[in-house]
Amino acid sequence: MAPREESAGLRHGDGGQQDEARLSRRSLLSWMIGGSAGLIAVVLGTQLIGFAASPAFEAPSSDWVDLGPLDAFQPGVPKNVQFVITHRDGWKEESKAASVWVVRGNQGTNDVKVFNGHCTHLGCIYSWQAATRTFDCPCHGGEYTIDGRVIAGPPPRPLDALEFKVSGGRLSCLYQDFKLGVSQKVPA
Amino acid sequence: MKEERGRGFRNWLDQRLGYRAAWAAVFERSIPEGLNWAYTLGSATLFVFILQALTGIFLALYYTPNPDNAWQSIQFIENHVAFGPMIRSLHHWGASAMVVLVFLHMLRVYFMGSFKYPRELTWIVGVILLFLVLAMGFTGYLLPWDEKAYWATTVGTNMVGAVPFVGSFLEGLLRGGPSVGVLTLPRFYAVHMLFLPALLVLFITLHLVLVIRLGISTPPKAARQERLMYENRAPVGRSAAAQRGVRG
Ligand code: HEM
Ligand code: FES
Repeated sequence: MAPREESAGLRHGDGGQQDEARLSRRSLLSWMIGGSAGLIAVVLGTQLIGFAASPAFEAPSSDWVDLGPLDAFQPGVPKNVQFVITHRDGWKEESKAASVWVVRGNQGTNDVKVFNGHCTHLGCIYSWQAATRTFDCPCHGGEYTIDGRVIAGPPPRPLDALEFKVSGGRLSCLYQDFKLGVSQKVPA
Repeated sequence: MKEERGRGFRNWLDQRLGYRAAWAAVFERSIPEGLNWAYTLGSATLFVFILQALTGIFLALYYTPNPDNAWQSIQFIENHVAFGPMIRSLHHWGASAMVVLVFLHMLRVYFMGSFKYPRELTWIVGVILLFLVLAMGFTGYLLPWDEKAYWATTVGTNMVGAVPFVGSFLEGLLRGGPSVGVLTLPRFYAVHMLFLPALLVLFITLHLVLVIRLGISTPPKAARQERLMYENRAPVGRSAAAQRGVRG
C-alpha cells in the first residue's frame, strides 16, 4: 500500500482550503500507516512462510543407532545388542524394539559385521548357539554360519548385513528392515 | 473522484478496474467531526479477524481433527514446527482479543446511539456477528483436545441440553452423538473453520457495505453543536451554549 500523496493532494487541494502543513500531515500519517502495515506484513509473512515450509527443512530422519564401544565386542564371539528405535513422521511417532548381532573378525577395526536380528525367512528372532557355532532360528529350523550364510532350513537369503561405522572407538549401525521371505535384499 | 487519464500501469488498471474510486469510497470517505479512538474498535475487530483467518489457515497445515492425533498434532506445532508457538499463540490470544474488541465496539455503538435510524440493520447484522464470534470461540476451544477442552465442551453442550423440550436433540446435534466423542471433534472443526468463517465473511461484508453506505454516525456532542450552529447561525462555543440557555 504505497501512499498516494500526490493524488491525495490533487483531490484535497481542489477547494483551495488546504494549506501546505495539512497536506504534509496527511502524507506523514499515510506513510506511518503504510509503514506499520508493511512492517506487520513482513514480520508476520516471514513467520507464516517459515511455518508452512518448516517440514521441507527437516533433515531426513536418520536411524543410525549407537551400539557402544567397539572394544566391547570380542573377535569370534557374536554379541546381541537390543535397542528401541523411534521413527518420527510428522506428529506420528513410532517406537519399536529392534536388535542386531555384532560379529567381529580378527582383521582389525573394520572387520565387523552387523546383522539385522530378524531371520530372513519370516522374521523370527534367531540366536547364536555357541555349541554349534551357528545362528539358529527357532521357528522353521533355519541355520546360518557366523558370517550369515544359510546352511539349513527355509531362509531364502543370507542374514541381512547392515551398514555400520566406527568413529571415536564407538560402533554404530544404520538400522533397517528388509522384505522377508524373498531372495533379494530389498528394504521394507 | 477525478478521473486520471494517461499512461502507466496504474492508470491502465484503474481505467478497467476503477480501483481508485473504490479505494476513495473506503478510505477517503468523509467522516463526522468529533470522532475518537473508540470509533476504531470496529476496524480493530476487523484487523484481528483477518489475523485469525491467516493464522488459522496456516495452523490447518498441521492440525489434525482426529481424536487419536489432535493433541499430538498440536504438540508437534509447539515443539517441531518453525514459528509454531508464535503462530499458535497469535491465534490463541487473537481469539480472546476478538471477543473483547467486539464487545467494546458494541458498547461504543450503544453508548453513542449509533444503532438508531438509519443504522438498525447495521446493528442487527452486528448482533449476528457477535454470536458468530462467540461460536468461533466455543468451537475453537475444543480443538486442542486436552482435558480442559474436553470438559469445557462437555459442560457447554450440557447447558444446551437444559433447553426445554428440544434440549436433548440440540445436544445430540452439537455433539454428533450422546456424548462428546469421536464425531464431536470433526464436527467442531468443520464448523470452526468452514461454516462459521463463511458466515463471518458474508456478514462482515454486509456490515461494512452498510457502514460505508450510511456513513459513520455523528457523535451526540458534535451533532448537538451542529444543530446549534444551524439554529443560531452563530459560531459554536461557550457563547452559543449561553445563548441556548437564554432561549430555554
Ligand atoms: C466481526 C465483528 C465486527 C466487525 C469486524 C465490525 C466492524 C465494524 C467497522 C469497521 C465499523 C466502522 C466504525 C467503527 O469502526 O466503529 C462498524 C460500525 C458499526 N458496527 Fe460493527 N463490527 C462487528 C461487530 C458488531 C457488533 C457486535 C455490533 C452490535 C451489535 C455492531 C454494530 C455496528 C454499528 C451499528 C456500526 C455503525 C456505527 C456508526 O455508524 O457509528 N458491529 N463495525
Ligand atoms: S522364520 Fe526363521 S526359519 Fe522361518
